[in-house]
This record gives sequence, structure tokens and C-alpha cells, in this order.
Amino acid sequence: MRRLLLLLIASVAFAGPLPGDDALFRAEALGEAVGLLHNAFAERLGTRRTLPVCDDPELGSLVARTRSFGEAWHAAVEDARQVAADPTQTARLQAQVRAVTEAGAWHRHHVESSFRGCVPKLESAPGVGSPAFAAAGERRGIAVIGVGGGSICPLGLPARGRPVVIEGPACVSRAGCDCEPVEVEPGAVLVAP
Amino acid sequence: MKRLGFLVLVLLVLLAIAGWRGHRWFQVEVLAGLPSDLTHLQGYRPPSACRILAADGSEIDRFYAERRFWVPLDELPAHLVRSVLVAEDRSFREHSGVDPRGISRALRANLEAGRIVQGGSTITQQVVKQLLTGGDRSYRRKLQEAVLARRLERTLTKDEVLELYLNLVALGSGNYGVEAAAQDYFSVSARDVDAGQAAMLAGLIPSPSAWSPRVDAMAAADRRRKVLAARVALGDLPEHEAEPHRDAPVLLPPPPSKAPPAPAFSTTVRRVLGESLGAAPTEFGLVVQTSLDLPTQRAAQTALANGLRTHSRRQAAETARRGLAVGEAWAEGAIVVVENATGRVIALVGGTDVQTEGFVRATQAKRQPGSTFKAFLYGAALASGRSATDPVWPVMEPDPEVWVDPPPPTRLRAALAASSNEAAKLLYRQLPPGKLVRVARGLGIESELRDDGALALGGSEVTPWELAQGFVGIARLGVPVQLSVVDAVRDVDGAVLGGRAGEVLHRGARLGRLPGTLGKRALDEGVAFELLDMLREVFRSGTAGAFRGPGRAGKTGTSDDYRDAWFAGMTPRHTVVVWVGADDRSPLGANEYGGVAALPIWDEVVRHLEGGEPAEWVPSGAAVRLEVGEARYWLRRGGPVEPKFPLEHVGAGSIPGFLSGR
Repeated sequence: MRRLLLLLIASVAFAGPLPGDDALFRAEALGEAVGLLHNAFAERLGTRRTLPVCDDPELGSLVARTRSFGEAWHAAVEDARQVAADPTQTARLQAQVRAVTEAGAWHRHHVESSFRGCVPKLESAPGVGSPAFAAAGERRGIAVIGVGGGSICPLGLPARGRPVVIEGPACVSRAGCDCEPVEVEPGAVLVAP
Repeated sequence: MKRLGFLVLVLLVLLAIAGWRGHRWFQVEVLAGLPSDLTHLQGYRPPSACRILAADGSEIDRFYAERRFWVPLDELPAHLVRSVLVAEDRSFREHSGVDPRGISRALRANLEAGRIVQGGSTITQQVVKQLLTGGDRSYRRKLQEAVLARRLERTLTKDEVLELYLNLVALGSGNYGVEAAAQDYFSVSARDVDAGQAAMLAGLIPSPSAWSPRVDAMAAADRRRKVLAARVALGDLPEHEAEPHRDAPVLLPPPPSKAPPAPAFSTTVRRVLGESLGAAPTEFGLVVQTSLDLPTQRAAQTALANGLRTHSRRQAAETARRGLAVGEAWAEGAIVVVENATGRVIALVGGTDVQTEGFVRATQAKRQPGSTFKAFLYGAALASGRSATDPVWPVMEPDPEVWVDPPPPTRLRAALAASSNEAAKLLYRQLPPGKLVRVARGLGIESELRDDGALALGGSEVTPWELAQGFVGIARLGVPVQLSVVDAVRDVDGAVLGGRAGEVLHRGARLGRLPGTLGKRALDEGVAFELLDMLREVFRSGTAGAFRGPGRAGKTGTSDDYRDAWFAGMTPRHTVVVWVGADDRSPLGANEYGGVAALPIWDEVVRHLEGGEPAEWVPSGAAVRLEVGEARYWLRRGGPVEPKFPLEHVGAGSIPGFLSGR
């Protein structure tokens, strides 16, 4: 009887989220934001390789954001490699390792080579709309950055220039959470009004 | 004296026996089996017509067991209510279900006439007759009606009984209730009838089949005169108000057109409602808000008609052999138009005969999809680790005598764009067993699929609806959604009972669930975007090149001997599938490829949808841009091949830094 109870408790425990799930979820959300920003950059840049791209504020914003989200993504994938040990997570983890490696190479080749010497700042910017749809039972994280101090609400995360992953409407408030959360897209930079 | 006393005693005994026997008969024959509790009639609504509305709210169809539209009593004009009371039950407000004076009046009239000329039933008894006892005209049934009428009046208020009656009553020509009759005979709502129209409706009640103005206008006018006269005689209506209506001509509107504007769509809505909600739509007179966009429906119907006329001209010899004038269509077709974001079907054409409902080719015709099925084949290949830039080596028969240099390999992207059958067969053989069927099933293909080489070339039959379902899954980057035609279901009072992909509840009871459910992911987002980009290549450099345009992606399909011509494609907002073929499966004629017979129809529908402002796909975050010369392609990020950035094996050490690369 006791063995049966232990078996039951163990099976309930196994049905819950695995240790690496949150880390992978965070990595995937950050990866999507980087992908969307990279693609927006490529679409915006077009054939203007020879133009003084440093003077384009929209390109500048995309570069500043890909740098922040890219570094955070890289860190998140490294974190996931430390904790995601379950065989069911292997494929997701491998996909993230390949994607962040490739995206880094793409970033250095396309973004940094075009923007060498420019130091754009992180400023308020909308995210990039994704054409993708969430499937039934699929969690979809949205990676954003809050800047200028205060909190990203309703989760109360600090708005200090570090990418965070949210799962629904958000806003930034200087004190407390007295703002009205709104839908945001991946790659957005949020500031308090 | 003694003798008299004895007789009286015998008489009393006989009377007692008769009374006892009568009481027994009444208990056993009349009361037994009658419901003592009629509370289930509180709030009861008789079966009413189910109204089908287009997305803009206009009515496109209605279906019913009895043509009835419920209307609340407080919305009906006094003229109508008074006319019915005067004609049918003048003491309605005074009696308690049975009217003894009415019965004696009817008895007297019947005796004088020597036949039954008056019923003597109150409105309450008529309601009981319709809802509980039925039409049997025996005395036993009359007594039961009387008993139940009294019970009903103890359960419902007078107004509730009257409201039920006005909505239940048969008024001829298939109309039940005052609203259906007013709409049919006068083209107005019962809420707006005047004194003359009200009098005519009330006058029809005793013999609606014979006196319907559509059957006998003179009789209907006569009944109107009688009810108006009765109201004037009772002081219920001033003479000067009755006068204009007394001899007014009976002008009937033409019978409503039976043909709904989108018959295939209507039939599909009925099927979906039947499968999801059973008999509830007519039982409760539900109002069904659909996803049909009428302008798109009309555009699709016109496009199909144009396309089939053009086909008839191209195949002039065959058209003449069939005894038709050149330009007269002999092939059939079907179109399904879906909104990608939701899976809502916004137009559905089931054939050229748009006047009648019947066989809906869009949902029922199972035909070979030809090369359109290659979209699933290439999806399966990408999901199995292949890339759009992978080579597909041509199959060569080895010749031991002569060495021949192999031709350069075709890339997957180019092979799909050119619709190469050789490449498709080779690719199918390289897939893991069952992979193509799993991908097609995951995206929503439900028909039986024979997992062999022919499947790769579209050898298993599917419906246009299924193909649209599968292509919507690709357009939604791997996330299928069940196609839906119903957006919301409301009751007669306008309260929403349920919506797309949700439960429908009526007074706390579950009626069923509407389609539109989100599916499980069938393809990874990056794989789906890579596939979508390959389908865009079909327009850039492949078999749909003649109709290239921003945001267009899709695949042509032609079955053996030109029996079926298909085009299945999508823009960022919509997926459109067009099928052309003959019902008897005879060939469409030489060179009637999908790109010739179906694609121009697709183009006409899509140009309507775009409205001059085509949209371009937003690149997915899971895809990476690749540039080869002037061309731009998209591959999935982290995929197997990225020529410019070959991935090195990342071992146990750190991943190269994102910015530093070290």
C-alpha cells in the first residue's frame, strides 16, 4: 500500500514541469525576439549596404535590441544546457543551441559588419509582429525589455534594460503597478509614460 | 305511498350507481394519465425557424420544421391582440381556462345549423390542444382539454397563455404564428401590422388552409370584413378606422425566393449545426451568425462561372460534341475561401448551379488532388531534416557501355516550383515510413490515404474543404485550425448561447460544441515558414509564374488525363482552394492543367480579397534570410543547412558568444 502511494506521488511529480522547462521556455522566447528583429533588420536594410546606416534611427533601434536580446538569449541557452537533462527536452535544447550559434554568426556577419562603430541606445520601441500562431496547449513567451526604471507590470519585474519574458499584456510603471497592461509584441522596449 | 317511496329509493340508488360509475369513468378515462404539473410550459418556446445570418448580419437562409418566428407579446400591436381576442375568445380575460357561456353559445349554433359550425374552445384550450392533447375531436378529449386548460391557467398568466397562442397558431400556407404569417402575406413584421392586416390574420384562424390569402384571397378578405365588423360592433374599433380596410384589395407580395445567396454555404451550415447541436436550432428557433462574407461569395461565384466559360471556349470541340454553345460551361467547380487567422470559411462555392442546394462539391466531392499534395510531401521532407537548398539527385538508369555525366542536381525549392514528379517520387522514398501521412493528417487531411509512391503525386482522393484545411495549417505556420462556418449562436431574444470553438448552452443545458478548435502543432514554425517560402517560389519561378504577385504562395495540381485541375494557395490573410472537374470524371481536355483551368479562378478571387492592396508575409522569427544573387530566400533558423554559416559541432564547451563569437 505504501509502495503504491509512493508510486502515485512519484507519477504526480513526474507529470509536473521539468527543471529545464522554464529555462528552455525563456530561451525560445528570446530566440523568437532575436529572429524577428534580425528579419526586420534585413528587410529594412534591403540593398542599402553602402549607405550610412548609423544615421537610420529605426535600424539603430533594431541593432541595439538585437544586441541586448541576443546576449540574453545566449545566456538563457547556456542556463538551459545546465538544467535541461530530461530526454524529452533534448530536441528542444539542441534546436536552441544550433539556432543561437547560427543567429550569432548571422548577427556578426550582417548586423555588426554594417553597423561597425555605431552605438545606438535602447529606447522605447514597439515589438515586431510575429506571423506565428500558438498551437493548442502551447505556451508562448514574449521577450521584452523595460528601460528607465520602475517595474514591468503585472509581474513587477525591474525595468532596468534587461530582457524579460512575459506571457500576456504588460506595461511599465514607475511606482507600484498603476498602469493598464496592453498587448505587446516580441522585441519591444517598454518605458513608463 | 309506499310504492312511491320504493320508486324514489330505487331511483336514488340508480342515480348513485350512475354517479359512482360516472365518477369512475371520469377518473379512469379522462383524468388518468393527464399531467398534473404543467410548470414545464413556463417559458416554453415552440419550434421556430432557425435563421442563418451572413457576417454582416443580413439573413441568408432559414430552415424549420414549422415556419415560425417567436415574437414577445409586449411587442405586438393592440390591433392584432384585440382582433384575435374578438375573433377567437372574447371572454379570455374573464374565464379561467373554460368558458361555459362560449360552450353553450357554440352548442346552440351547432344545433341550429345541424352540424359543427363553432368549436367553443377558449384560447387556453386551443393552446392545450396544440401542446398537450393533439387534434382528436372526441368528447373524452374535449373534457381532458377543459381540465388541462384550468390547470394551465393556474400555471401561466393570461399574457403568457396569449403569447404562446399568438406564436403557436397555424395561419395557412405553412406559416405558424403571427410573425411568420405577417411576413409572408404582408411583407411586414407582426409588430407593424395595421387594423386590416390584423383582422385578416385573426380571421384566418378557424380554417387557415382554406382561407389563406395565397389560396383564396376573396375568402381572406371576407374574414377580414367579419373581424373588423365584430370589433366595430363591440366598440373596440371606431368605424372610421375600420372603413379604409374593409374593402381594401388583397395585394400579396411575391412568394419569397427559395434560393439562398450561397446555397453550398447554407447546406454546410445546416450539416455543421446538425452534427454539433442536433435538432436544437429549429427546436429553439436559434439565430446563427455565420462567417459568410457576401461580397467575397459573389466574387467567388462570378470567378468560377467566368473560369468555366473560358474553359468551355478553350475546349470548343468537346463543348460542341456535348451539344452546348461555345462558352456554355460543362465542367463543374468548387471554391473554398478561408481566413488564415481564424479558420473561418468566408466563402464556399459548391458548383455552378447557385440557385439550388444539393451536392456540395466543396465539401463532398472526393477527387485526386494531383500535385497540390506535394506541399505536404515537401513539408514532411523538411520536417525530416531536409532543407529547401538540398539537392535532389536525378534518378539515372546506369548504362554499362557509355558513361554519361549526371545532370546537375535540382534543389528541393526548384523541384517543388517546377512540380517535378521525378523529384517527388525520389523524395518520398527517402522519407521515414508513414511520415507523409502523419504530416498530412496533422494538418487536417482526414480522408483515407494510401501510403505509397502515388500518394506523393496526389493519388489519394480528398475534398476541396480538406485541402483548404491542410493549406491553412501551412499558412498558419504549422498550427492547424478546424475550419468553421458558424461564428455564434443566439437565442430568439438575442442572447449569445455560444461561439466558434466553444460550448453552446441553452438555459443551463449543453446543446453541443461548435467547430473551430485549435489543433496541435503539425510542423515546427521554422519548417512551416521554409515550406511557405518554397510555395512562394511556385509564383516566382514555377508553374504559377504567370500570376505572380506579392504575398502569393501555393501549388498547382492536375490529376491523370486532366480529370481534375486544382490550385491551392494562400496570401498572408487568406487561403483559397479551387477545383475544376467534371462530375462524371471525364477529362477536362488537353492541357487543362491546374495552372490553366483553376489558377485564373484563384487569381480572380484573390484579387477581390486583396482589394488592390496585397499584403506581404511578415518573416517568422524562426526563419533566417538567405541571399543568392538577386534572390532572397528564407530557411528555418538552426536548420540542417545554412550555406554561409556552417555550424560546427558544439560540444561540452561553451557556445560561441553572440557578439564576440568566442
